[in-house]
Amino acid sequence: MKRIITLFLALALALSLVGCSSQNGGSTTQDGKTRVVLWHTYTEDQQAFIDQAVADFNATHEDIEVVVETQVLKDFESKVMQAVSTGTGPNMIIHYASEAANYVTDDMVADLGKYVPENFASTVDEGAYKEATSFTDGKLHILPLFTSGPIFFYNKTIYDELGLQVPTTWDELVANCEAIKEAYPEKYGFAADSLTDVGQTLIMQTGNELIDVASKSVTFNTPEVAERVQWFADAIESGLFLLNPTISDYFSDDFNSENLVSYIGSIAGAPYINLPEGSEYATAPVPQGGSVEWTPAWNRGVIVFSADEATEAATAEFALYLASPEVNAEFCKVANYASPYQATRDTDVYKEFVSGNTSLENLRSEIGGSFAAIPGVAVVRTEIEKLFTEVATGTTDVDTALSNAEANCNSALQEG
Amino acid sequence: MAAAVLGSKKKSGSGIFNTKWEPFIYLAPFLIGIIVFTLYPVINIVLISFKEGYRQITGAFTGYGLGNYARILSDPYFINALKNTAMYVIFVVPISTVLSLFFANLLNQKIKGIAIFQTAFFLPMVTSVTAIGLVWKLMFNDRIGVINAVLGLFGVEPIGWLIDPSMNIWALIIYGIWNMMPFTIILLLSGLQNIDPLYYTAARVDGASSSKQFFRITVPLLAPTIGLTCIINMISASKVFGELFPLFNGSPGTAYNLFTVVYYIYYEFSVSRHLGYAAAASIILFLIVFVFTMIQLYVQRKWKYY
Amino acid sequence: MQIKIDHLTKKFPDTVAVDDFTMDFESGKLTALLGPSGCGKSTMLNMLAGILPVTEGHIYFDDDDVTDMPPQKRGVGLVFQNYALYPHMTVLENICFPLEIQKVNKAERIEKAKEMAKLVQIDQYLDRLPKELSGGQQQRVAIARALIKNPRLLLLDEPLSNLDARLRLEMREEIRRIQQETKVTTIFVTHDQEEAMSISDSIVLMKNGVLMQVDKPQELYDDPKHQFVASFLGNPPINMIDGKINEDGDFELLDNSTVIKLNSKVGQVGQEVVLGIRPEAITFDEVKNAKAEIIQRYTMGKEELANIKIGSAEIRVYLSSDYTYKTGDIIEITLRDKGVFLFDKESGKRL
Repeated sequence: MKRIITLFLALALALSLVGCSSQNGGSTTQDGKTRVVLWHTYTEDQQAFIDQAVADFNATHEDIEVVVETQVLKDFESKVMQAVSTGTGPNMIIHYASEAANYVTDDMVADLGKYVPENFASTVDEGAYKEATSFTDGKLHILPLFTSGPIFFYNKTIYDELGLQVPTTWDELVANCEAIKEAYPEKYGFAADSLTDVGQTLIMQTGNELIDVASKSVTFNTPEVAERVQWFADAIESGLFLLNPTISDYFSDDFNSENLVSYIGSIAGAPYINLPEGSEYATAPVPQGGSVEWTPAWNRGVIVFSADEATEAATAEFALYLASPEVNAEFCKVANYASPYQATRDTDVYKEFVSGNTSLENLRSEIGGSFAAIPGVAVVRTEIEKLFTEVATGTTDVDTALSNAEANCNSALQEG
Repeated sequence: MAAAVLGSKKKSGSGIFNTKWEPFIYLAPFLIGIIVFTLYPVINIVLISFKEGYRQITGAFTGYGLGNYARILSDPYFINALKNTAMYVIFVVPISTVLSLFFANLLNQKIKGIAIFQTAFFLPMVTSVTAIGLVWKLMFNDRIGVINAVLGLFGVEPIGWLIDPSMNIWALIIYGIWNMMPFTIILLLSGLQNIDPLYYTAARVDGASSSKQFFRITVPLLAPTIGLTCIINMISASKVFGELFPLFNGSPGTAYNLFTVVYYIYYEFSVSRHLGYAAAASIILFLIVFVFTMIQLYVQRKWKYY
Repeated sequence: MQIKIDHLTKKFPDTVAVDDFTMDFESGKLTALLGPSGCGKSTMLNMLAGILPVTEGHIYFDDDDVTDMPPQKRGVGLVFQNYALYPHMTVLENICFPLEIQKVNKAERIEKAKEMAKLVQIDQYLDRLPKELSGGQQQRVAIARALIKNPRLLLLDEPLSNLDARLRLEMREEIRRIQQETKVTTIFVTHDQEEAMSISDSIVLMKNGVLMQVDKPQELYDDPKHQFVASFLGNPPINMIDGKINEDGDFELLDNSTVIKLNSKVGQVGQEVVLGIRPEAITFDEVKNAKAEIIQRYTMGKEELANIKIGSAEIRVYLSSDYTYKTGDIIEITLRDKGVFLFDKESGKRL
């Protein structure tokens, strides 16, 4: 009999291995504290900052204990979803609104509107607030923390040599590229690290809303958008723009080898730029040129998963702590992100951090926008990239490509 | 048998011990591992593939049916994925097998310094995928790549391997052939080394030339091994996925034109978050691979000489 | 075809497998290359086939110097020890293979193969794969395959060693019959003296790569030129007693325990010699040569044998049950003329 018990113990052990770290998901510790679990993928300085922030928070909050669990970046989203679905997930993650969207339909993310001050909308950038409430239920499911996005990188040495002005519009960019092509036939004038973002920019600047949340459908099948897609394809066709990186997965390497004179890429890509001796680069905002001023903004914030009332409230309290001006400013500083909060921007720490940081200024987060955070939006992102590449490579004509993209997006949005 | 051996001589002990169940106690850790880590996920995937309106987070669904299958079989992306995967299998498996056979035969010779060549051929197996990807990207480069340079010698216009969507599949196939060869060569080489050298002596006495020996003796005697490698390669080629990443910056082709079945599964699971579609596609892939395996088992039995 | 081997030597990195070997093989005869394992007989065969290059010396087929000729040009048929039948080909395809190589047209080669199959009596198994045949049948296929191209020389490497005892008897008769029907010059390698004795026209006995003696089987047995030849042939083996020649020209054991009178006094006085006595060379009818004590009597199959002691030397002799001697009896023995040999102790040469 004793042996049978041993056997069952072994079985229990084996099963517990499957659902390891199954103690998460909002519980009360023995000393009566409410336990809040944070999963994140930050490393180095940013990880150190989070650890410090958590320690400070725990020290000043006797009834809450925040526990940090670092996860690997690979398949983080699937892992979170898997864990949440089995009740072993974290109470909060720091991610994009689109990730929260995957949980809204099943009512698995908390409505943070209950915890933020009434005047919250007026304290945060318009674009960030709009995205944070762009869910199908219109509620606030993400507490914005910081904003990143793409900016325009250009080879200042070559620009100066050819006497070119920094382009503020797409037409100026094409004119610059033509001048570059003439001087250096083997060089490319421009490229887009993320065609999704540049495509989205081109579409949004025509005054298009791209996604209509109410009808769960896309609105980009218009003659204005068709014209923009064709414009991009023509620039590729004539060799002014480069469609694919030729050296590594990113255009920064083409830029470094001066095979490419300018590109739009993430603000976070600056450390990877390393031009040859005697050459220098500079940054500028993403060009405009449509009826509406628009630039992509990537807003990340705290997503709080549904839990019992006490846990949810405790989690929200920690989230608000991270969004508080001093803490937020420090976090933005270590991560090199812009803050969507005016209060943060008013702090001395933040002011010191951004002064002379042209990259951040060029982000222009005040006109920044994002995709609506509804299920299926990941497919819309893919379809926009596909739309532009298909036409640029001559695989499909622009009208067919637009119709296909529209159909695929609508079916994804409606099925989501 | 284990029960008889283990249970026979013992006099003391009680309960499950000394019964026919006793062996299961010793097998339990392994069996539990199999059930938990292999069997359960497989059954779950099969079930999910038939669940309609399945929600991954809550596990809720509206009912069982063939909806997921109907949806993906009418999805142009999936049809395209099937087509690309079939192309890949049809070209990569035979070509890499023939080339591997040729090289394995060369590597089987008793030549001085053959070890250097043997090592060179197996180098890809131990080299980092990133490094390999960089090299191939350069080789496929339309302007400065060595492949276009060589083709240029024969008057071929530069080909946009990685730029022109219609050429993407060929770049993938060429890379796939190269990628598949080392493992195939190892298998074939071990097969070659199992052939009694006496057959070649006998053939030589009869005056058979090297090519005659190769086609009349080596190839038929190696047929079971060739068959086995073909099937293993067919199965692995059906699962083509990782090969896309080094060439196309992680996207399936220049313009999302090069979906493969596994990429489709990955896309439906990770991007679209449609677990039901991903499960159904997995089952379809499984059935295809299963058919290949059955053919292999049948052929293998027919090809056994000794 | 006559084969002439002229001062043939084969050296391997650490051994000399064949050492300055010179002899002729008679045309149309069946010759056995006999010797203990490692004596160089297989090396010899492989050099004849052309599979192994020669270190020194020459091989002539009739007047052709084939020393450096590749195997396919020599016109030899080779039967391997384990037959080396192609496992993926049927019996018919196996037999046809040499003709296929010679690009003989299909109808002709099948006709020829069927003829060969009939000769070796496997014509009812033409569609089978080698693995479906018994060892003896595989052997027949291998012979047919070797014979189909009308070789000038048929070489068989230990042709019977993979067969069980009963099949071995049958197959050696077959080899004899096939050779006699085809009249092809045949050389086969064996380590089994009985096999060699029973079917070959002549035997080449080798030791350590050196030719010991070439002769007809019975001659080799009755008239060995060397101690090794005498001791290698015969079953039960010949008795060898070390001793020396005394003043009377007779054989005396080294410890002087006894003297054996010799019928022919060929040794020199004081010479150290070895006396070889075949078990059948001792009779008990007339008292003549020496005294001996019966140690033990026993029967092996139909043969009745006894161990007897002459002085300090113990030897084995045939002792028919007509004699009623018991263990411990002291008897007198007689040496026959045939089957008693005297060898020089040092050189091993027959005196």
